Formats: sequence, C-alpha cells, structure tokens
Amino acid sequence: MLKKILSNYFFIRLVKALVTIFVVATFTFFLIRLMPGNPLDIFIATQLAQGVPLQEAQERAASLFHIDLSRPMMLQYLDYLKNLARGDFGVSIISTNTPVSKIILRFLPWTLFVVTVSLFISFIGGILLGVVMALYRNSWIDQILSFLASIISSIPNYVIAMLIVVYFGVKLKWFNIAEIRGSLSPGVKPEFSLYFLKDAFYHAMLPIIVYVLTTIGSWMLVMKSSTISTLGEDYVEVAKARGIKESRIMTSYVARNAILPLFVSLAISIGFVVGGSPLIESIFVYQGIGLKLSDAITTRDYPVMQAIFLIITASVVVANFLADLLLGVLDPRIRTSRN
Amino acid sequence: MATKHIIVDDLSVEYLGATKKIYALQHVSLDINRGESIALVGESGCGKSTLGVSFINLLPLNSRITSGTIKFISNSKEIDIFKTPTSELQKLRWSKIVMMAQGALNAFNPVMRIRDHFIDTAYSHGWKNKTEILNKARYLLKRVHLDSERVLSSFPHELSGGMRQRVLLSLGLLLNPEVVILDEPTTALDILTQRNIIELLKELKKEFNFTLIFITHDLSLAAELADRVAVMYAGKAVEVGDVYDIFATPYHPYTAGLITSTPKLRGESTEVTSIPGSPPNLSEIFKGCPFYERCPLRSNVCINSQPKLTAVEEKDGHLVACHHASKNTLEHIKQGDWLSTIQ
Repeated sequence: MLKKILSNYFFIRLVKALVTIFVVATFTFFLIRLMPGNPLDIFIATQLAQGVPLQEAQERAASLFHIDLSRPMMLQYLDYLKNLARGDFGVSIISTNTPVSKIILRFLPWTLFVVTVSLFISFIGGILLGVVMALYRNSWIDQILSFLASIISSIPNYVIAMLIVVYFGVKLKWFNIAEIRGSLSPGVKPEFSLYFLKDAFYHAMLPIIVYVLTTIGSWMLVMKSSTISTLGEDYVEVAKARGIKESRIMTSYVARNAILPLFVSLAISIGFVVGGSPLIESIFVYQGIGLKLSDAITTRDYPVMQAIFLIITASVVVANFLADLLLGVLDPRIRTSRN
Repeated sequence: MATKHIIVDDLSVEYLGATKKIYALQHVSLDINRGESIALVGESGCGKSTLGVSFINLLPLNSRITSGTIKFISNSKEIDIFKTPTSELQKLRWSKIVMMAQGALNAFNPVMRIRDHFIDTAYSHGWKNKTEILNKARYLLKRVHLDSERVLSSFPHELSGGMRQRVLLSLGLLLNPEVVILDEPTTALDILTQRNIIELLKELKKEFNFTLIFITHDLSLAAELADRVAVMYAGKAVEVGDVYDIFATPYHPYTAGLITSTPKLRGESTEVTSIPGSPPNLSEIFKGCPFYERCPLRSNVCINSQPKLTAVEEKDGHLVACHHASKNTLEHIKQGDWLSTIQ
C-alpha cells in the first residue's frame, strides 16, 4: 500500500512541487537580503530627503519599526521557514501591523483576474488564428498573420504598454489616463453587479490588451506548426477516406490533437505573465500584486517581497500541475503511461 | 464474362514539387471486374499508391490529374469519380469504396476510443441508431477474431499492430462496401500476423463478396490472394493478367525479373537475385520504354517508341506493354546472366 502511494504519479508530482517551492523560498530569502540597503536605511533616507533632521528621522524609524535587523541571518531564516510552514507570511515592515497575507489577499485577485482573462483570450484567439493559418498556409492570409505574429511577439510587453500610455493616452487622448488607472473607480465596491463588472473591465482593459498582444503571436505560430504536422498524420487521411465531414475532421481529428502540446506552454506562460506583472502594473498603476511588489522592492519590505516572489513561483508550479492533470484528461496515451 | 466494376482509362497524375514535376502515373488504363481480387504490384515509387488514392479522388493537394477518368459502376449506374462533387464523394467513400491507406497502425485518432471511430463513421453516412451501429461493430469485430467488448472500449494505443489492422478491416466492412482497396495491408506486421491477416482477408472476401484491390510490393502475397495481377513500373501498367498466367508465363522482362528475384522457401537454390539498376527518374516524360535502361532484351526500337499495353496473341485478357514481349521471356531471363546475385 505504502509502496503504491510512493510510486503514484501524482504523489511524486506533489513532492516535486513542494521541493521546488521550498528551494525558491530559500533563494529569495537570501537574495533579497543581499540587495543594497535595508528598510531602515531607505526610510531614513526618504525622511532626510524631505528635510527631516537625521536625529529625528532615526527616532521615527525606531518607533515605527519593530524589527531587529542585526539578528543572525540563519535564525531569521529558520523563523521564516517556521512561520511559512504554518501558512504565516509575517507582518509588513512598512505598513506596520498589517499581515502580509492580508495585503496579498487584497491585491492578488486583481492580478489573477487580468492574467486569466488575457491568457484565455490570447490562447483561444491564437489557436483559432493558428488553425486558419495552417489551413490556408502560404496564402496571403497566412503570410500577413505570420508576419504580424512574429513581430508582435518579439516586442517586450512594457514597450507596448508605454506606447499605449504615451501615444494613445496622452497624445491621441483616446482614454483618460488619470481616470483609467487603478483597479476600480473611487467609490466602487466589489459586488455582484453589472456596474461593478463594467468598471473592473474598464480599468483592466489596458493591461489585458498588452498581455493579449504580446502573447497571442506565439500561440498563433505554435498552433500553426502543430496543426500542419497533425494534418499530415495517417489518421487524418484515413478519416477523409472514411467520408467524414471536413468540419468534423478539422475539430475532432486535427485541432483536438494539435492543441495537446500547447498545454505545457500555457502553464509556463502563466508564470511569465504573473512574473512580468510588476512592470506592466506599474506603467498602468493597476492595483495588483505586481505593483505591490515593485513598491515593496523600493522600500525593501522584506516579508512582502518574500511572499510575492513565493506566490509567483507557486503560480508557475500550480499551473504546471494543473496543465499536467488536464493533459492526462485530454490525452489517453498519457493517462495509460501514468498508471 | 465478368462485369466491369471500375474502369481506369488513360489516367495521368503528376505531383508539383518545389522545382520540378513528378509524373507519378502516365496514361494508365485498367479494368477491374466485379467480385475479383486484383493485386497492383511494383517497387516503391512506381505509382501504385497514387493509383490507390485516385479511386476515391483523395490525391494530395500538390497533385494534378492531367488526363483520363476513373468510372465506378454501382447499381448499373456509371459514376465518374473525378466529376463527382466533394459532398457526393464523401458519401461514396467508405460506403461504396473503402480505401485503407498505408500505415494502418496510425489509422485511428489517438484520442478517440475504437467505439467512437465506428460511431463517427456510421453517423457520417446517415446512420442514426447507436445500438444498431454497435451491434454491427460487435459482429464485425468478432468476425475478425477479436474480443469485441474490450476492443470497442479501448484507445488505439492499447491495441497491437495486428489488432489495429483487424479493427481497421472490420471498420472497413461496417457499411457493406462494394470495393475494398488495401494499400500494403501487411507491411510493418510480423510474419505470423501477416499470415493471419491474409487468411482473414480470404474469409472476409468470401463472406462479404466485395471487389478487392490490394497494393503490394510482395509478389508472394499477390500470388496468394489475387485472381489477377497488374504489374506497374515507373507510373505505367506494364503487364496485366490472370495470376497463373503472370507467374507461369510472364511476357514482360520486368515481370519475369521480379518473379525470378523472389526468394523461394523451398528448392535447391539459396541464391537471391535482383534486377540490376534502379527505377528511372519520374520527373521526365519518357520518349521510349521506361524500362529501357535496365532491360536485357532492349533494342533500338525501344529508345524512341513507347510500347502500348496490348493483348498477347495466345491468351485473352493478358496484356503487356513491351516491344519484345514473348511467352519465352522467363526462359530468356533464367538462361542469361542479367540478374545480379546478392551474396
């Protein structure tokens, strides 16, 4: 019985996932402490810049922060692991007495919302366009789409984001830069209403556009090549000989099989998008976990940084795990090899 | 007198490559009789598979039919395959003419159960009753000696190569086709499985009474299964005739060469021979006989004049395309030292 559990595919996957998270937690803990400056220095420096005398700035810092940065690093690390094991991320240094978990619960949903919506749009759109490109390969449609896809997927997302803000926002004034920032308009509360949803989408629109534009190109190209190779499979030829309708062959025989390798990349790209969110969310001042991370980096708010880095890693690990499960459902060959 | 089932008349097919054309079939004419079993024999690249897919007009996109017709006679109506619109052709495929392309091992959609392959095929041809479909499928699977319940609920990768070939055969008989075309039905199977498939084909043919066209490079398979044999070389049919006539008195030197090159299991000689040279480049149109380069009987007349497929004097229904065809060809070949010995 025990042997069966230990050799179980999902058990092994779970252990691997936990080890990954542990390793990343350790690395981030030490790496962020190697950054120059600590929360106290940064706070005192900002106070000084505002004209507060050194003496007073130091006193303020001492009364505000209850941390002892001179404790041996190893002990801090052990404390951190101990708390982490209990699911306790600690307390923010800068926003005194605010648990990190509360900060995360407040900001993470917005990032997840934007990332999920944009990956959904770009994955579905990329797959449909990729199939069209494969079906009409070498036609003008394919040539134009392939050209656009390779250009658009090679531009970094922050460049597109800035372009949108500077050109469409400031110069052309297609939208009001001051109004669209943040994740909700002032006074709007999260609730189940059309009004709230409309407002949420209005504020999320620009980041979503950027994420979709920068990820759709690679989906299109990968799906195109995958579809072309599936079109050459014997079972597609035999399906035609079986007199099965073209539309049925395209969906159940070609697209259904061509899509399988894309699920692995989908999981990886979730991590990329969440990991890249600090830049995009800062540019659009979108109140997500990415913006919070870049704030935490400037103020050296160690616990918040640690927690957010961990969440980015965890999102990749969890997404990979889910993609794996999904692939098992979609591909019977994988299901068999696991049992 | 046998009634004709499929008439191939003057068929030419070419493939458009990146830089040159390949003339895969060049003016092929062939009659296939109702209920017979005919083997299309030839080496790789002789156009036999191209002819196979032409029967249901499923040629690849880069190909073009440059001349000729294929007529299929069903319920005493003549159907011109190349003039039939795609929607009609879709109904015809698998319900009247079953074409099983090479590579039966990958003939099934890897994410669909065998059951759904049967259902999918039947639905596409207007069959609605699921229980009826599955009952027929069960019968056919039992008929090819498979455990029907287990196979129906299996995914393709859970079956062995020989099982998959059998499943494909029973899927082929689902709609009671008039014609079954098999492209290399036993390639990639081990020798015992090949044996089983051949026996099975004989049984099925007897029970379901379809016209069988099978494409092979294996002469012994042709000898075993076929009533008639069409030998193809470089995109042409070079000799057509009754299986006994072809094997006993081949008129074409290529056919004679093939027969003498087939290793025999019994007999004194353990030497294996082969026809020297290699098949010609198909990107040129021949002025003369395509076999000229390799032929032991060649003469000047073969360079500029292409031999036509004509009936031999002695025997009705035995056709050959050779300027020097004679009933003594096999003797000539055996006496000469034309064939090279492989040690």
